[in-house]
Amino acid sequence: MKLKVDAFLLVGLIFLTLVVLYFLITTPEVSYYQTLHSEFNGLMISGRTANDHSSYSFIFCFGMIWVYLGSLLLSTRHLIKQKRKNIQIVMTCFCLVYLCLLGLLIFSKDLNLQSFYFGFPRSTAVMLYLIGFSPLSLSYIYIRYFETLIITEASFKSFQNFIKSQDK
Amino acid sequence: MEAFRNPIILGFVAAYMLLTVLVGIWALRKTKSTQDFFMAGRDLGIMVTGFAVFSSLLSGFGFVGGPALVYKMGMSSVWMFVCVIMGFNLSFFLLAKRLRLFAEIGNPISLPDVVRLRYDNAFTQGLMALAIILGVLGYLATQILAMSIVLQEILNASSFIEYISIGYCMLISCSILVFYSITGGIVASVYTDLVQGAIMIFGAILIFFSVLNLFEGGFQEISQIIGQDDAGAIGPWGTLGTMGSLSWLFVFMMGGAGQPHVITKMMMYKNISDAKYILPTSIIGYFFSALLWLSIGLAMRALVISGMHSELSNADMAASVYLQYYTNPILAGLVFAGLFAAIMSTADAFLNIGTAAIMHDLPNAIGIKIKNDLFWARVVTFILTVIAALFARYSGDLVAILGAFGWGTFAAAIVPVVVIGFNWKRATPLAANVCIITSLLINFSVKILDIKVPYAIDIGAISLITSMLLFVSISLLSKKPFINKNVEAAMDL
Repeated sequence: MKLKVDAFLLVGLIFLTLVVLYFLITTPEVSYYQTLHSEFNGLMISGRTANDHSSYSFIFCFGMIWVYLGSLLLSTRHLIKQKRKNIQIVMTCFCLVYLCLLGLLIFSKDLNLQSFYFGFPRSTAVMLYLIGFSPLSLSYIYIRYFETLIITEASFKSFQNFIKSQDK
Repeated sequence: MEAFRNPIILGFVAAYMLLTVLVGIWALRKTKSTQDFFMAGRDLGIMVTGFAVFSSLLSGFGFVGGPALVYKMGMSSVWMFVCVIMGFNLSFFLLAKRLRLFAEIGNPISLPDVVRLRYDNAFTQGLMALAIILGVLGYLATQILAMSIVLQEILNASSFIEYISIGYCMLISCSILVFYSITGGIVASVYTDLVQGAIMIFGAILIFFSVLNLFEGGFQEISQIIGQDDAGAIGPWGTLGTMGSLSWLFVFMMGGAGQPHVITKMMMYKNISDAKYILPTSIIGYFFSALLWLSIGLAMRALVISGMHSELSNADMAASVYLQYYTNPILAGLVFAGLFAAIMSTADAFLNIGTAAIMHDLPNAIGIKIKNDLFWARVVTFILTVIAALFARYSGDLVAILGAFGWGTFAAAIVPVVVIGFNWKRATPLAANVCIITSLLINFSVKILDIKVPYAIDIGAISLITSMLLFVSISLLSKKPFINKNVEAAMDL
């Protein structure tokens, strides 16, 4: 079945809008606390999100990645069926992995200050190194399969010639 | 060498400014038409475009505001650059080819020009130009103000000047900015971006190693110091909380593709296949430059908490204090030059798109054709700089409001209309117009009325979701739009 990208994006947007509306309507004080640090000119802020807020955060993340994927899939509309299917599967898998990594952070409760990875606590290291660099896999696909997925120099030249012939 | 710290810093900054002036003079010979002035003759290479893309994106905010945010709230603001590869992927998959193809049709010289081409609607072009002008005014004024404050700090710290006012510093920095922007237009802008980008990368890498050696245990010791004071600050969400950090992730991941001063550069490169090399160049450049953001912010927070440095009176001073007290004078000089580079590279890009919007897009939208346009482009560049400088000097809080308003407004107005609309034939002009107006209304009213959003959710995220939803749903509900044959060919390729 052909995936209707615009419908997929629209449903994602409706979902995300409803999630945000729910957040705005419910009372925020129960799950989020922010105070000014008592020292250092009051410039540093202290704050924390209560653990029972994790599932809300994950739902927001889910909607957010859905919208990102829906937008990204629009770039595949010009491809022939088989190529389109392949790259859409890759993009979807990437977004699911990214969502899992975000979920891992959201649901990991303890911040262990005893074990450090490359200078940072474990969950911060996951954020910096895994979440930060995992999108390089998509960049690699863009570079490696540019001629197959994006455009060839020859088709660009023929497009230029087409435009010139229209202008005459 | 320590005795000559301020002359060395001043020497680096002066050398950098001289270099930009020389680039401006060189670019003057290459700028013969408005196409050259605004589009660099669509003849740019990989390195120049790649560096121009990342250095325009990483403004003075990245070098001054970024460390300040880390100092204030720990790791929260790191989400703004952790998502940058996601943002670059979205921009390149959806826009790099499409904008370059549109640039072949009818020789457009600005983003609103291409928007008009796509939607075949003058009103949409006018609205897009208006959104750009409002955003540019705030952003440009903020950059000019930041440039002047840093210059004033450097000059007042030197022994041979007793006191220099902010007004004179504004005059000096704006004169240099306006000189190379007027003489060489976008050609000078992108080639200075190349120099500026190189300085930013080099300076940021050196700063990273300087922070690594500041404490015996490197970043682990810094993390321990910060964590013992407030564990949340060194955790992945910082002290802003999960929802606040996630909303930043969303706005910066999606909104990067909606920054006009950045994506306009995607219409300027020469060969279409260069896009695949421009992407990694931009990512690498941005990644190294962003090291400064994280390193200085964490270092200053750890220094203050451990009592090794006195409390800062203003978080925005984190970067300049670190450079003054914890780096050797040559590195400080280099990074101060890098700081000017970061500010100027963004300011000149805004100046260019703002000039195009005033001089070309708004008159075009109401049917006025300007003659002798290269001359008027230079005049408008000058006038826009003067207005932005006066605005920065005398408008008080309005600069901060418009400066903060920029990113979210551009994201909400441009992501649906350009990123989605240029890849989706069903998108209609009515949806585009509603989307731009909505983005302006939401962002302006929230900033002016100072409305606080629960859970520390960024207002940019709310306006982006709203405008995207309106754009897609109105497009689907309205009549199928007419699309010009050439535009359709570009969208099918």
